[in-house]
Amino acid sequence: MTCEEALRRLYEVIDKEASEIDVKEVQEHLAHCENCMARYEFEAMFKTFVCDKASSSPKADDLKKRILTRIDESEDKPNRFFNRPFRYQAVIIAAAAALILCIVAAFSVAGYYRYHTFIEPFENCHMAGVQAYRTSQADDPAIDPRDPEVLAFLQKSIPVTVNDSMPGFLMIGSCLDNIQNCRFAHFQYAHDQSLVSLFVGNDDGINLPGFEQVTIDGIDFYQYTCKSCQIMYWKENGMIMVAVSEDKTLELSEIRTVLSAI
Amino acid sequence: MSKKETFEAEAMIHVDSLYRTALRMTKNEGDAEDLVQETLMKAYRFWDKFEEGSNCRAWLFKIMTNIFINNYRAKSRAPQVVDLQDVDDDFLFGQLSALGPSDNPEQHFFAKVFDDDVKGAIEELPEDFRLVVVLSFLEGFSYQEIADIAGLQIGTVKSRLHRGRKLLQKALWDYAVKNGFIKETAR
Ligand SMILES: [Zn+2]
Repeated sequence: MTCEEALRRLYEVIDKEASEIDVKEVQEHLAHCENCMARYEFEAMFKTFVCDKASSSPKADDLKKRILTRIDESEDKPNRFFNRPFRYQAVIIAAAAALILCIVAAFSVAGYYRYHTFIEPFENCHMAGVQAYRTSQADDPAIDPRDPEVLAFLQKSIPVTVNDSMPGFLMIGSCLDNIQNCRFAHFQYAHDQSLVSLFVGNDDGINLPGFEQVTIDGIDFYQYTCKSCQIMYWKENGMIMVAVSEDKTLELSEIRTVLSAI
Repeated sequence: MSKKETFEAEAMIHVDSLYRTALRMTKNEGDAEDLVQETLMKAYRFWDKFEEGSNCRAWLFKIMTNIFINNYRAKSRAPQVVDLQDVDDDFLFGQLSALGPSDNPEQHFFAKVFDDDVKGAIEELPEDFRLVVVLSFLEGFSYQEIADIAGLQIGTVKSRLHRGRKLLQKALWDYAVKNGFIKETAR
């Protein structure tokens, strides 16, 4: 073995990733090559040095207690949306107060929705493939063929095609959801390893108050953000499209590109 | 055992090491604690789906890495440009060797640099390199495990680790020279 070959295997040997044969050959070389030996010893020493110096960290006992408390709280409340970090509870409490108003308002304003009406079907989505995806985190999602009932709904009532495959989006599955007595076609995608739901329905005067308006490429989008979720909706040609993402993504509006023929 | 009991026994024991990595990645305690909390809450939600007997620690790190990338990483999506052209593979070794064999410069160097300086140097690494360096050096994951955790090809893991090492050695050398631990000599 030449010095060059010995040094090419340097890090793999030190990181204990080299094959037995490679290790043996390297050792034979090092036994009679002082230069390579010195380099190997140095790199091994450097790794030990970094491990020793940087491995210590404060004990996270308080953190563990807090996590266990949150787990207990989450067991009491099956609705996952309410198991967010404490600082978001303020938002949620405010939202709950608004919800009471909303129930009153619902009698007079048709299709008066709150953001959580979309988070619930998103989080409790039972379509095949989604759970597998959530577990595997994008490695090997079992892709569900598109639900014929959803396709029928789309063809009948909505002039839109939902693409199976768009760059950056991986379709996981589809189903029909009833949300406040409105039918929505629900598509779930993986986008940047995040789960994203796209709800497509007829806009019968549906309103979601409390959303921030942003204009992207001349289209008005309305978004609502908390730390661990993001909702964005927009309206086009008598339809409402609501995108919900489990993790905050910067490009949620991109999901518009999976729709065609609007 | 209940779901919570098995979770405590198998997942909660990794909180210290998750927190260590979270600290290096977020660079502050508040975000690191939030990140670990979110990781464990998510893991608990999907605990039924975790396959018993598979690598729980790697599974938790994978969840944490995904949350970090989605929610915490620097806002800019621009690719990180790292210029290493003028840094040789054996840069630090060469510099230290050039100081001469008599005064044992390696030992001197390793003894002088403090824990916080090494942690600081790791935190200065660009995120992509920092992640693989932390997972390899501090957490002892194999190349294959790192590839699974970070969603990378194994070749990418190797090259990032290689470049991460080089950057780290360069940063520590510059630091030692700046603080007068070592007098730079022309190579
Ligand atoms: Zn040699």
